[in-house]
Amino acid sequence: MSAPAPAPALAVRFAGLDCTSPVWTASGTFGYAAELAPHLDLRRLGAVVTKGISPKPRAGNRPPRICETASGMINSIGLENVGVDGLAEKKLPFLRRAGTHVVVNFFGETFDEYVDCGRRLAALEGVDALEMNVSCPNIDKGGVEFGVVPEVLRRLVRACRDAIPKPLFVKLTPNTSDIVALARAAVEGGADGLSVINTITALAIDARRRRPRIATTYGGLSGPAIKPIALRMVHQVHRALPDVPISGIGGITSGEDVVEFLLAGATTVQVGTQSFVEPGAAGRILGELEEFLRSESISDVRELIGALRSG
Amino acid sequence: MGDRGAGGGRPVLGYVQGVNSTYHTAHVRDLHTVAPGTFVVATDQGARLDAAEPGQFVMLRPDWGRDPLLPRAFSILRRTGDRVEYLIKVMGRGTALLARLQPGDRISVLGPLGRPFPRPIPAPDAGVVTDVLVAGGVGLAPLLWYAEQVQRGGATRASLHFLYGARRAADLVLLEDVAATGADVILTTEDGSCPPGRGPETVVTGRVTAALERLLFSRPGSRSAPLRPETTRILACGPNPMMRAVAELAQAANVPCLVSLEGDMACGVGVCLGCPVPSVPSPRDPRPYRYCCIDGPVFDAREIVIP
Repeated sequence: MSAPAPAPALAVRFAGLDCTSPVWTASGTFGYAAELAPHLDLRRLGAVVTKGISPKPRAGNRPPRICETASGMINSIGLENVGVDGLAEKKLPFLRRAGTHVVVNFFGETFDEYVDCGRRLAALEGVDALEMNVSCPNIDKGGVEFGVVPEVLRRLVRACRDAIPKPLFVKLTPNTSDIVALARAAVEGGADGLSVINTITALAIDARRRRPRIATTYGGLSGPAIKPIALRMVHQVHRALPDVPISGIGGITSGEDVVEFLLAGATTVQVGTQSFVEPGAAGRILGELEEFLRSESISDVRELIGALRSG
Repeated sequence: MGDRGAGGGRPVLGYVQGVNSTYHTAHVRDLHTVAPGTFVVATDQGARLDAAEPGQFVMLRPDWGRDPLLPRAFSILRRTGDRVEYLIKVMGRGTALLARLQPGDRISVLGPLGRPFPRPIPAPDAGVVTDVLVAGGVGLAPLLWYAEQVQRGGATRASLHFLYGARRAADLVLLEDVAATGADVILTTEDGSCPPGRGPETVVTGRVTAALERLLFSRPGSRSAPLRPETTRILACGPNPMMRAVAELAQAANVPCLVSLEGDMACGVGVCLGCPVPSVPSPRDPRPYRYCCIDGPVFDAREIVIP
């Protein structure tokens, strides 16, 4: 019997954040961390990403807001959140003690709201980095998402960048024909890292009632159904911008899924919808990642990043 | 934190916040059909749901791979020692797969979750409180468990009315268990059909809400003593249209009413925000929505707009 191999190294550095592991939780699927904290060890996660925060609290959309689809779900929650002050007063006290990095996802309805929100959040103690949600409708431009037009995205990120003295990530929308153009725009605007991808716009229909299954007609598709699309986009962005750290998101349910995202070029991943399926999903997935590394005799998880062989 | 006991002569509507939930694996013990498309499934690991109270629910998910993806929410029918039972009606793919579970199959359980019905008034004071239970279809589950706990607490027969309705007699299930609670039981079927072995006098034709209306309002000629609004409370579980009708009757009778609702839940713990229930904002709780999973599933009917 030989001595057991040393535990594989899991730490990664992501745009200035030293993370204990590459596994994060995705915005909107982990609340403000306290809700699911009893079910996993938060200190082992590289970071938690909060529910998207706007300058003021928002009530969200009327129901129905969610529906299940094949290997996935569609949601249209309506960006309900506690607002900057609510986060500071009610949620940050727990998050500061959670023993992991706190990435606050944020958005606005106008350029000014984005900048105002980002500036106020960055000033809060316990906020380690910010992730911009650019899939929000731009009310000054007839509700078109900020994140779909590269030039608009570049200017929006630039405006926020100048107001935010902390690491700034941009969560890209997949609802585009050219993800690389959006990635370039975000980086030109000053993004330190990219989260790839947000949900895919989708529709589910109740055939008998002849109605959409959610109140807003369209919503965002998430879950294992979108994983191959997310992997493709992570790969495309990484190939075009190999020096930009990517946090891969989309249907991750296992340690092997994490490995696939790292191979495609992600430095970290975010566990999303699976946290609804099992509250401790991110912890279980991290354990499986560790087991994969052990079984493949990989001593450092960073060896996997961008290590996809050509087809 | 709610008031856990009874105070004075007035029924207490305080809630007990759901706590102590765990995520664990249970195994199916047995499963039996109780009506066409309706079954009771029993699992082990009841000790993990030790803290559960009538009205609370769990998220159940067998090993069914990635499709269906999400767990399903069910009220607990009862917990007896290590045994936990759920009353389930086949509504879609998830429940159809649940109906095919075999003894020994693994099933993930997250619970107990949500706010339960208020606790039964303990025996010494029970005589002053009349609980009117109104169940529709598989909405029977939490109320049957509640009635069993009332019985265990030694409630007198006069203090518990149990109105239980379904579209047809074949859908009235667990009738022996309902009778064993010692409650004043009124069964209703919309088509007037009677359960096998029972005479037509045992069933009232019509909706269960019509029976509730008669109980609340038509005193002359009634066999039972008049209900006094100040010492009566209604506990109801069933489809939303029925819950709306129950709430309206309760309001007209000036009787407190608690309704247990269903919601579209992905997580069951207040994270996905998929199960909003429009609320009647108050200074104490100005939110435009409450959430079925963490603010309910049992709500004071005056505080919400039943969808």
